Amino acid sequence: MVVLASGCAKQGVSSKAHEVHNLFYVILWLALPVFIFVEGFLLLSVIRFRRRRGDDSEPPQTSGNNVALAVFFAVPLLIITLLLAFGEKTLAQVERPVSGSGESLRVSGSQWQWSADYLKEGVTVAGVTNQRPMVIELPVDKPVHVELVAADVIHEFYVPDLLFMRNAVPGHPNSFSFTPDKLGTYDGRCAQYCGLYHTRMTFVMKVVTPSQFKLWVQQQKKASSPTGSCAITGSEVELEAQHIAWDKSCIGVAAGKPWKLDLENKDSGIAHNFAIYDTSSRKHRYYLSPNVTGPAKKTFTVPALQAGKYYFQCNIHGPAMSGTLIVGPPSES
Amino acid sequence: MATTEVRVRAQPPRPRPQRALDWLTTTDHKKIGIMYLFNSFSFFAIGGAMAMLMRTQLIQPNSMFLSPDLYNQIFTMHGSLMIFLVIFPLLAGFGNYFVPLQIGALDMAFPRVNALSFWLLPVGGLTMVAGFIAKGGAAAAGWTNYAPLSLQGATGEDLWILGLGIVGVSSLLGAINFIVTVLRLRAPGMSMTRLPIFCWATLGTSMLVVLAVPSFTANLVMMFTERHLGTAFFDPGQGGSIANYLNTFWFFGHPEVYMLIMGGWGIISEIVPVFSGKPLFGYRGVILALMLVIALSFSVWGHHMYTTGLVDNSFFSVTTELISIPTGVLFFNWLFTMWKGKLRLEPPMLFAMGFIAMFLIGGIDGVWMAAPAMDYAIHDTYFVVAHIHYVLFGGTLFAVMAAMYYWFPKMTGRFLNRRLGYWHFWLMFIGFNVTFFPMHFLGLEGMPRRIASYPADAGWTTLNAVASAGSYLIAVSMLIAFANLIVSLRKPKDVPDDPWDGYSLEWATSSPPPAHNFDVLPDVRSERPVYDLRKQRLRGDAAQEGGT
Amino acid sequence: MSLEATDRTLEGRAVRGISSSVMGMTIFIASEAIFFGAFFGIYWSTFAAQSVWPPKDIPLPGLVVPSIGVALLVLSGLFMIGAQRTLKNSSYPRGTVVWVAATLVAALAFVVALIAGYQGLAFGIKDGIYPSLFYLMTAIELAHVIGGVVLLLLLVVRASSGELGLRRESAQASALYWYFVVLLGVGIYVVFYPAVTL
Ligand code: HEA
Ligand code: HEA
Ligand code: CUA
Ligand SMILES: [Cu+2]
Repeated sequence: MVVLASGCAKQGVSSKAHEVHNLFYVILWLALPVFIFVEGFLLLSVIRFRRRRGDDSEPPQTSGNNVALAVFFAVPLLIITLLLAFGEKTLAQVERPVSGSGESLRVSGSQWQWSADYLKEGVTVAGVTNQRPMVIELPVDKPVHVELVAADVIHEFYVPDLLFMRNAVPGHPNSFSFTPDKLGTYDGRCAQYCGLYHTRMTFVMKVVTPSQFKLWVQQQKKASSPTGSCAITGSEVELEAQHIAWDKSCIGVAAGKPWKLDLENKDSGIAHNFAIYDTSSRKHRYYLSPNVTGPAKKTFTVPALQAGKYYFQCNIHGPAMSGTLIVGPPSES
Repeated sequence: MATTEVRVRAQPPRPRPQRALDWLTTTDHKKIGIMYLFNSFSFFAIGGAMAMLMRTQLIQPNSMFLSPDLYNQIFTMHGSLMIFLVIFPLLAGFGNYFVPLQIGALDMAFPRVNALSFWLLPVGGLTMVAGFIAKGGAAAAGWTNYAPLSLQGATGEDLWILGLGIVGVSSLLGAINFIVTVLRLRAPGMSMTRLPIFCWATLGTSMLVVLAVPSFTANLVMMFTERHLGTAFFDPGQGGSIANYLNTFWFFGHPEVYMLIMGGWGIISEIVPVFSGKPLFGYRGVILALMLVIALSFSVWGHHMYTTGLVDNSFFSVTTELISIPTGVLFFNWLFTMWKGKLRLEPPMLFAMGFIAMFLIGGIDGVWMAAPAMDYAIHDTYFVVAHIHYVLFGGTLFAVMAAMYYWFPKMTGRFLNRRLGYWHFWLMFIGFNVTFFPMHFLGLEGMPRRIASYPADAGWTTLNAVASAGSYLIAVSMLIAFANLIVSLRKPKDVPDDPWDGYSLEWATSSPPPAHNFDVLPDVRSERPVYDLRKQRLRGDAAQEGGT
Repeated sequence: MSLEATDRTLEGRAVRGISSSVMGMTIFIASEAIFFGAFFGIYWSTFAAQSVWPPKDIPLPGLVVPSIGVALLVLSGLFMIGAQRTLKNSSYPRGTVVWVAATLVAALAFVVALIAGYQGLAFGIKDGIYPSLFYLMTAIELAHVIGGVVLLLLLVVRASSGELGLRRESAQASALYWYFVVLLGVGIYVVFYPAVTL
């Protein structure tokens, strides 16, 4: 049965993944003799030592000795020592940061979608809860350095084909790196149970050629400057959060004076906040409200802003919960 | 002097209360033990029904049978009930019934505390289950209840915390009781090196409870104040840390799993020798191994946190892999007990051998996961779910079934039906493997645990269908077991004192034992007093025959 | 809770060695130590992780009232030692009751001091990790002292009613518990007052 299992370990699409794949076999080959010995012993005992009908004689009452005990300790110790040696070696390989410059990503998990900032390119991609997964593209054979963060609960970045997962822990950024070495589209998901829609917190990792990657980055850049338009509604704005989404994708306020934000959070047990940035790559922050844990309604006063287009989001749920803020002279009517 | 030297002792007369009130007010360890078992099997039916709902949900991709919300509540309660209200109390139930008998005592050291320990259990369990009728449903943060997710939970989460707090007090009181009982109330001659392994295992389990459960209690207290008083233990924004949650939980959580298996090891160490017709091979080695497991078990909790980046993975990998060594010693001792024995393949022995065969697989799974680099690939996948069930179901539950068939005659004076027993065993054994073995592959294929549905194109469909089919087979086997109980209980009491040619003192009294346990207590001169007694009797008979 | 032990095996033979109550209490105290160990562990790891302790914005608690309180608690522990001595000599149980009563008075005075100490605090339980630890650990200590007081009251009542004329184990067990509570009070005092204010 265990032999059957061997066919099933993934090959992996990075050199680190290949090491883990090999480790699977090393452990298999070390454990297999133990498995065969114990199960074989059981079978053999049933066949050879089963009491025959009518045989009432007593078997020899042997009860062990120190030599046997020493052997019982020594054999597993030997196997375990080997196993640890290989395990530690692979661990060091997997943990070692890959050298060379490449892509640098800050990946952020929140209930229940992912977002990723490409730090070099200034591009941000995100999924939307229950609607579409985040899609990240990576150039093949280029190192990828990932910093993993979370703002609400613990999540876990998991790509089965990388044979790797790592938690996104609030208050404790984790980092890892790898070099994808095979073109393709790979499923990824959150592996750490994180509440209601954990099941749907998926993403897609595409490993592409460098030129395809360049093209993709340009497309993403175009998409990232604040878009949309809406009327300026004066100095009071109502905004509602439900099912990890804002009810408005664009809000407009008057320039040059503070305004009131009525924030209603209908997600019970879940916190949201409201932050204003220049663009979705969030170089400069203009405002950040305190958290509002639902169900609750709070009013905040946002300081005056100059006229222009801004980007707003919930900092806990990131670009998935974002929109455009238009600051301008109040429109007539 | 040909006949057995048996001391007859005066009995303190015991009042006999009314029958109905009898069970509610009893402090008799045997009645309490039976109530423990009854309670656990009831919760087992509930937890098992939940498992059937989960398997029905997962039988096909994109299933809509249960909503994600309900699925989350169900797997949380399934795990919580199975661990805290089924497996642990099952072992405690057998411990209650048989530890005093095996050491030749009248009762537990603190009978009234013992009754309290028991009654807290259903109270705690029902409190947890009550979440299903509360607003927002039952707790839904997994049995590991990780913060900060659990801080978001509704009333059901509070009921979960409260219920487990109560269960924790119950197990702590029970553990103190067991330790004092075993250390102080042993019959004359019953030295610690003649103590049945089941008693050693119960003693060890109790030590684990005393040293580990308080960490969980602290965890629950913090969780409660965090939810209601606004403390900041788990809030990194205010100087707290999620590590505070994880460390207090798993410092308890790992010793916990040995609390769930050690009693099983004890049961196997009783049954295998009896049905092999030999003494336990390496009795002292087994005790040594148990103690080593206890000591090591407090140093391995970080293996549940390899992927969090919060612990020293190399350290925890070494300690975790080391635990395989004493566990291996147990295995080898069981195997060599059978070597050259005369195996009687009665249902208890079949279940015991099933235990060895299945727990081995779960243990080897553990060896994979204990290598951090490997765990990065399979943590939080169905590989872990496979491990859980191979150790808990293939392990402890098989041991419990073995104990059931072994001790039922002693508890009730009636044998369980042997035919049905064989059916029960084979269906359960096959169903179990069909259900849980494929989960290894699912895990390696990347199917995460705790998901309410999966897409059709992930390649997990077939194996999930197989697993679900297997789970129905398990359910059938459980119904057979249940039928067996009912059928057997209606038969007349016809079991002699010592139906299996047993070794330990419970076989020296009637089946079922009288309220005061023993009319006569044999001398204890080895770890097999009843075996010695039998031999002496045989010799006595032979001498008498020779004389006439 | 009264720990009623069946210290008898089959023929009711007296069991040698330490009594069941005392052994049970010792084990219970071990588990309590782990329980508090969890909190001290969190205290320690937070302390190690922070550059300023307590965190800057936390106004320090006053030192006087808590110091008086802990002195009273230690005093109660000393009275308990006195009580335990009388267990062995002829003044039992009368003399014991007097000592235990003195212990009780000192303990209640500690409770008063602890609660009085809460009054002057300039931070609430929601103000971060230090206040969380502070309030929770002192509150749990308070609960343990009150539990101990109940235990000792029971002891006094049972001793005066003559019930304890035969058994000294429950007095021994209560004494053990009391020493633990005192020790804990001192530990908690040290980490929250002198260690941070001096
Ligand atoms: C009865 C309960 C029980 C028992 C006994 C064990 C026993 C072991 N467990 Fe398991 N474990 C659980 C219950 C249990 N576990 C549960 C419930 C979880 C999931 C928690 C959750 O929900 O997240 C878990 C999770 C878990 C993890 C975390 C996985 C993850 O989340 O990624 C790990 C990692 O190291 C692990 C390891 C081990 C090891 C090494 C043993 C060892 O003790 C096994 C030792 C036994 C053997 C190895 C077989 C016999 C030995 C020999 C014949 C000797 C020779 C063998 C060799 C040399 C290999 N367990
Ligand atoms: C002892 C522990 C135990 C036992 C016995 C079981 C038994 C079963 N478990 Fe469970 N399981 C856990 C402990 C256990 N489980 C834990 C700890 C988790 C993790 C939870 C978490 O992630 O938080 C888990 C999670 C878990 C999952 C993963 C959920 C997920 O991650 O999404 C699945 C999925 O298939 C599953 C299935 C089953 C099945 C089909 C059974 C079946 O074998 C059940 C069969 C039982 C019955 C059908 C009952 C029938 C009873 C009667 C008819 C009464 C008979 C009466 C007498 C015998 C007296 N379990
Ligand atoms: Cu995020 Cu699961
Ligand atoms: Cu563990």
